[in-house]
Amino acid sequence: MNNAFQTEILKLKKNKMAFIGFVFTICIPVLLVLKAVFLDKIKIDYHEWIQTVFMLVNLVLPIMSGFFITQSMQKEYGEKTIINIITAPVNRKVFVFSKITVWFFWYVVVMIVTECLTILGSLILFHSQVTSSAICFTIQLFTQIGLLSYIAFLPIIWIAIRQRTLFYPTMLSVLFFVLLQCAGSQVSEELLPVACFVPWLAIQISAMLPANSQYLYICIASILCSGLLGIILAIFEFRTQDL
Amino acid sequence: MENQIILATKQLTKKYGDVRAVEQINLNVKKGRIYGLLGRNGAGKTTIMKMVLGLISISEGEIEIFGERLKGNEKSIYTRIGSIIETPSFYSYLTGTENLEIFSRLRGTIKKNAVKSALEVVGLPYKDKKPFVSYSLGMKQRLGIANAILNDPEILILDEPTNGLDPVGIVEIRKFLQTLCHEQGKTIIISSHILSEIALLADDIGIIHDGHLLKEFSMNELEEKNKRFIEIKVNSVTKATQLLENMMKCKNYTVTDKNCIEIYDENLNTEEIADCLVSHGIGLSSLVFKHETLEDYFTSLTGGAKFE
Repeated sequence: MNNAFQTEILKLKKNKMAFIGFVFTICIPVLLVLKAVFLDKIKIDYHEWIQTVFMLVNLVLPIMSGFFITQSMQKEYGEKTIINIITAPVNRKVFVFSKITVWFFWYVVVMIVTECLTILGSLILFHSQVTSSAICFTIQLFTQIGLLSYIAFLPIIWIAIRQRTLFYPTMLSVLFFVLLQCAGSQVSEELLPVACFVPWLAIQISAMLPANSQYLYICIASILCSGLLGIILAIFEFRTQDL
Repeated sequence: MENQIILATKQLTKKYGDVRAVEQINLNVKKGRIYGLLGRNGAGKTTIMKMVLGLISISEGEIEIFGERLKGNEKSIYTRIGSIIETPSFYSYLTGTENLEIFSRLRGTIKKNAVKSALEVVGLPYKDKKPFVSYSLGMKQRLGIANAILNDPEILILDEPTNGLDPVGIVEIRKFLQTLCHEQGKTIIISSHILSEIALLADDIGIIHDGHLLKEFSMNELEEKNKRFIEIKVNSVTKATQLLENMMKCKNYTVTDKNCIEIYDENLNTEEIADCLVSHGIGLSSLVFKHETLEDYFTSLTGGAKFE
């Protein structure tokens, strides 16, 4: 597993998609700082600014993340390097786990850098309004949504393995999941009992629920189920796949 | 050691739905020899190799390598095998050295400097800046071979390794594989649809046709079996065969065409045959000494038109 993960890191160093995804995502807080400094005529308040960053990051990061894993899997099939990997030999389960691990590694790095830039930006723009509790809240919210989003999107790797060299079905699935994730913040109270069971809607819902809400547990359970199912399906698909 | 079977398949079958791509193949690969899998495109050569390497599932049958059943011993067996399947596949944006470093790390248990020496063996530069995408086809094949020998394997499985190489490149690869086999004792399984290539390289041959193993033999056996023969072309095969049997007491012959006979009887000479036929009024248009080649043998086995 360690060798497989290390080789994924080696590949990551020259992976343009990983770099583009990283730059695109971390650009959001940077551009919003520049916009607030140079373009905005009316000064917005801290909460409004942080909400804008939050909304855009939650839109762009899952898309970039989906692009990253789709391209990573599709390249292995397209360039047929998967044959060299399996004959190395690398256990098929280990290969899937190494992909998931490197995907998570990239995701966490992008998420942390974006969080840091957001906090730095908020300190530059709203120095007097930003308290330590506000920083903690921002970190907690970013991390919670980010991690839940990563877990809920794990079935993407199953679709990518199933589709082999095809790029579009996986990307369309990513966009559909992102659409659901964005729609999660608009779910009405009447629809809440149903929406909690849909993992991609549950990501945003979980951020709006109080800690003691039973719906929060349902949201987290449905997201974890999605992740677990994604991993199981991906391993099963890859183990039975003729290369 | 000569006859020790290092890789054997038993009733190996691959089905895709109702279609049987490969059916009941019993291969026997001897240690320290070059085994050529010969067959037309789509005969099932790559499918067999892929099943051996675990790239595709086995529908029926089993495989034994190094005297052990493959199933359940994959990890220990595959670390002793190097391979190229279809075209050499590497990361296009990485250099040859970077690609080999990735695959050497995946193998885990290889020697220090293995990448450098593997590249040296195939004549590719170490630590160059050229990405794989800019490599010529010949360089790609060489890198594929370097990757296959990276872990100093006991068995090399090479699927059409000379594809796309220029004549000089083909000779170089052939010599290199012969050295690996005959000097370093490696066992090589090589597939090809190029008959001359297999004839020059292989010690043992398996002929695959429509997913079936038609024949397995050594080149020595083929040479012994296919002794020289006399081919005659006459205007009446019936009369000529009667004369051969009655006058010359020859029974070891085959009628291969409506006016062609192959005579395998070593005791007869060409003058005798010509005299006999002509004196009995049979028109003789050709009389030549011939030697059956691998191509002829392949054609007779597969029952098809002449090969490449």
